Amino acid sequence: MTALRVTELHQTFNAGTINEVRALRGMTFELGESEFVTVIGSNGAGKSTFFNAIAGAVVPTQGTIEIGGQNVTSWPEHRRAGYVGRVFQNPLHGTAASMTIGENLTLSMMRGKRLSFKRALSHSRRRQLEKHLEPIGLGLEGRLNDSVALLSGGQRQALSLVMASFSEPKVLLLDEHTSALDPETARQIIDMTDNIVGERRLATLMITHNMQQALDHGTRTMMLHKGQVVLDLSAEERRGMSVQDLIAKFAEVRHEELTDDVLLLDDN
Amino acid sequence: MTEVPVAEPSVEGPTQGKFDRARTAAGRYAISAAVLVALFLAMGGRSSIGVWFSAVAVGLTLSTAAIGVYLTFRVLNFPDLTVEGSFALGGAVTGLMMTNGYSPFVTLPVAFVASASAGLITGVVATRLRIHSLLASIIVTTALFSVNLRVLGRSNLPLLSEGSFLTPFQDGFKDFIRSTFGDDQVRHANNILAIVMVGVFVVVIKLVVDGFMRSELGTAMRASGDSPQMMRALGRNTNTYIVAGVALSNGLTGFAGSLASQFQGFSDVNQGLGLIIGGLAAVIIGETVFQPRTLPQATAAVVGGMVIYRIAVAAALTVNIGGFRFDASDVKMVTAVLLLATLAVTRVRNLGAT
Amino acid sequence: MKQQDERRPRYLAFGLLAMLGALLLGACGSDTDESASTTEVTTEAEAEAESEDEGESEVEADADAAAEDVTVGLLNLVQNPTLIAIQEAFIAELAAGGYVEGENLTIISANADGDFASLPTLVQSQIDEGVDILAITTTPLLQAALNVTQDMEDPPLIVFNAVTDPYAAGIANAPDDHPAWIIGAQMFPNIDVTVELLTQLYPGGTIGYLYNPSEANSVAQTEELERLLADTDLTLETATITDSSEVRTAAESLLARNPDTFFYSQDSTVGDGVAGLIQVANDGGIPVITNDPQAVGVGAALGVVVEFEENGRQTGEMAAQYLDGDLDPATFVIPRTEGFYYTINNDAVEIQGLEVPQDILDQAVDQTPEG
Repeated sequence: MTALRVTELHQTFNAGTINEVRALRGMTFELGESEFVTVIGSNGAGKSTFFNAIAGAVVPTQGTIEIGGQNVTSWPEHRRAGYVGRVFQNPLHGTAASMTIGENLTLSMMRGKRLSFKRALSHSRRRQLEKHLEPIGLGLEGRLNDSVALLSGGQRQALSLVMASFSEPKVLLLDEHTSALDPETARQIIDMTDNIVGERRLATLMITHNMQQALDHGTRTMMLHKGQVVLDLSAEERRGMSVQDLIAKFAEVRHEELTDDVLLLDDN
Repeated sequence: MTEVPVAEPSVEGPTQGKFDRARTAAGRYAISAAVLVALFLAMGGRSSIGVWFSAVAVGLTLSTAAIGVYLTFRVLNFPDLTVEGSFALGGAVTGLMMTNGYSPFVTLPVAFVASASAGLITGVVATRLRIHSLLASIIVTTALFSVNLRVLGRSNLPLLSEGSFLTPFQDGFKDFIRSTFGDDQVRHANNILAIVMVGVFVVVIKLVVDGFMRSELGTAMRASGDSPQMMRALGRNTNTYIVAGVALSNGLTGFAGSLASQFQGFSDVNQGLGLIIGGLAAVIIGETVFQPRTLPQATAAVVGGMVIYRIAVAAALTVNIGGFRFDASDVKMVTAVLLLATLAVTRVRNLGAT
Repeated sequence: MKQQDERRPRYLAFGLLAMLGALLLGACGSDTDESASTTEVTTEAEAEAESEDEGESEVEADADAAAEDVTVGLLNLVQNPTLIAIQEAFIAELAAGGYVEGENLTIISANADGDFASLPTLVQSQIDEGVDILAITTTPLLQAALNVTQDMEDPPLIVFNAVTDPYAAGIANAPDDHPAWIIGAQMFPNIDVTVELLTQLYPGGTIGYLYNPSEANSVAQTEELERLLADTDLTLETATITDSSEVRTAAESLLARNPDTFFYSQDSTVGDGVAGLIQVANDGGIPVITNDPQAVGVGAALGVVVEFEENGRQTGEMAAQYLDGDLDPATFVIPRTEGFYYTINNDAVEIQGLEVPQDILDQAVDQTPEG
């Protein structure tokens, strides 16, 4: 069963006005159950809009979205939240700073459940968390009472990643989640991502500006351009490819030069 | 296994070692104690003890409102001015019920519910109609002025003849004071009784609020105020939690309004004026002096902050240094300066913190 | 995920119902007085009118003079029994003068309920309704009325009552020097009688006095008090307040200065918060003596109260005479209501420890609450 199927997805903002933006122009895409796909594309290619559509933050102008076989196209964001895990670029957005690590994790544990007046971080939940966190190897299980405000950006992203993947969502969306971190920390987060995604076999989409990173991680790489999928490289196809090769491939397919500075400069 | 770097301990940030934190805590408490002692002497020493008892009593009656203000301003990030109207609503409901023969104790939960409804309306107006919380709350508080007049029947209603929550215990307590401390101290009996009884109310309420905030619903409420984006991504309707929180906060304020009306012996539709300043002062002073790190510590801190604030106001009204007194009309300036001084001290101390 | 959607409309409904409930509670619970709107006021004037119909020719002569329909606007600041009694005395005297509501007199009444911002609007709306006389109760309303009418070509007559000091309030310079269309009767408390009483009760003693310096009336009363006390051996300890919630603290601070008695005059801020003063007085065993007509019923021990109903009656007489054509406002001299009486609360006298002289006991009006 596919984790995610997107069919002829169109997204137009401000239709009919002078500010009309056609962010997605007929995207069709399938994500298998344990696939880890890296997503690249220049600015304005539609990557974030794509994620927002999957998560339900925007309603598509046309097309369908199916998650885990379920047609969720018309579902509002909070209804889909049980199916979709998301980590944002900004470390501050994925966690609640005024609360403790344990409380944040509890909130992700309670995802989709009806809330009660019972104690949030009960003893049984604590044990559950400790059991779950230990294999990750971050020492979070010993710091459940620490305030999130004490964590560095990298630690907060690590926590966001744990929270997003906790309840084994059908689709994990990673939206440039290392680009706000320094290179060393970014590398550690990426390694952690590989581990979690690999161990849990989560269907994952990861947006990155770093083309090398896109090639080095995941099992498949997809390039978006002007709201459409222009490249979709399987593991075999991209093996041994360098960034230069990728750029050449793009020119070949689109008969135009890739001119996005950020994309070109930002490789290792 | 991955390793993620541990945050470097910084000298001035919140990750101070335990010893450093204790030292500054001792410093803060010492300074606060010194200030209070100085005020005590400036107010006339032992003869001013009546003023102190009454100030502490009033501070405690208002402290649930301080918890309410803390909830909306700090926890929910929803600046809420409804409290001025809902405080008076609590008093108005109490006045109406007591003049119709209801027991003073029954008026307390009714005042809570009535004021919580007012908060509910503010919350719904703000979230559904997407109006800024300040504007929504000002509108509701203005409407409440008319509601309070209707409920009370007049702008000021004396309640002395109806009794209060103190009445069943007054005589017994007076006898107790007389036998333990002598006739001279009997005149403080009512104030002390109020401190004891209201203290019990406040402790119970604080513990209930703390417990709720630890619950699943309470945790979701806190996160809705802190990080609505995260909560929405987790599939929660943040609006519902914010509205419930605003209702809870105003309910606490209405409870304080009922206590205040009963204690002061009258209910006035204008008695909420200036409550926002008082509540914010309580929060600022409480956070500065007690530096709470957890929510239960914070609710205790704002209670303490309200008591300290009321002592400061009483001091401003009664201080007498060699014949110099503040005019009543100067008191507002004095409290403003006090708040500024407290804020200045806070900034200096927390340069490196979040 | 359905539960959140279900809860929202439920909360909204609950909230609106609760607010409605509060309103209904208020409508049921409040007394018959109505507020902040233009209404008809029914009074005892109708009963008087009936007896007049059976009366003699002299009464009929008055009734003949009042042939035309007149409209009188009544304006009050707050709902309290004293002010309402003054207004009722005014209306009763009008009726005695031949102007009976429902027959040849229409009364439009409004109450500001303490909302100072709306005073000019209330005055203006009654003028727009074409009142012949504006009967103004309390000083702030009088000031608003002066402001609204002073540039008018043909303002209605303003008759004021329950005004402690129109001179301090800037309405007039002297009893014979006032705007031509404003007349009334001053209701200044009998501070002279009170000072005499205090010297009799506490020779060489200390008076704990409270007032609000932002009330012009209170400043005038305080000056009079200080002037009179200068000739005595009494010491005055003063505490000022700006809000009714400060009364208690002010009382406590006065208590620390060992007064023999508390005293306050006709100050509405202290009056609103008098419960706080009384509690402190009861606890400390210090009497409360006052000029405030309502305080003794609430718990003050002894009152030296100006004849406020007479103040209402006097002004009603002025209005009737004006309507008869027998009074020229421009040359009218503003009188001061004479007459006072003592009020006593026996429970408070006992708790607060006041020794009341026998002659006062004999004549004082008993306002001790029942039960």
